[in-house]
Amino acid sequence: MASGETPTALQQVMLGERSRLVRFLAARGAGDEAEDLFHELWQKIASLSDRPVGDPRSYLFRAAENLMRDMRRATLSRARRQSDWHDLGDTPQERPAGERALIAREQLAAIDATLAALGPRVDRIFRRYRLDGAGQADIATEWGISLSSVEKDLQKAYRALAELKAGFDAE
Amino acid sequence: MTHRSELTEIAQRWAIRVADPAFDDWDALTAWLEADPTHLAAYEAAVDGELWADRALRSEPKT
Repeated sequence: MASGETPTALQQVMLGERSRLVRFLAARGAGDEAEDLFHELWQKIASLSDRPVGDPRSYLFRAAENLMRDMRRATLSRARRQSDWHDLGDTPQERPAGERALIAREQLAAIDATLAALGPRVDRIFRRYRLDGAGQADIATEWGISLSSVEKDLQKAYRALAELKAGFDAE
Repeated sequence: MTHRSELTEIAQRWAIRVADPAFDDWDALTAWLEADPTHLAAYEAAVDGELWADRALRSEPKT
């Protein structure tokens, strides 16, 4: 818009949804910077090729959600680098690669064991949802079970993994 | 005020719902986040847990 170019179809939807998107960004952690982030989102959308998306409105909110996730990831990794700097005094560096790989393997084994303990259906449904990106409705059809059963299985997996993570975080 | 573990449960349900590719209830999510300042932190914690597990599982060697 700044360069005087014609807004893409998606950007036109974005203008119509502007106040809702800004409100979402503010509530989602952007606070006073919601307008700035709306502008960042605008630039991102401008850089996309102008191809039709299934549901433009939902696509934009998803993009806003992902933007907030990226921001949080950047904040967390900055905080981690600073704390490593503190821990190691004058030789700032991350944990050695070997140690990181060991921790990653240990966590993966614990996650596999936690999911296995919830039973094969919960295990498979969680992986189908998170790793394959299948929707709850599709999973319900595949298993011939109700939507609420799928949701309950996912809740069991999320709950158990959150507890597992809390244990690792406390170490 | 919502009990902490109850808030954790509700936040987790939101994270699960948002993860569905068909999720389209963004206005309701906005309203829930606006309702109380503790909701955002609970939601972010739920998303952190989800991404932590994703990262680990995606590193799993394919068999």
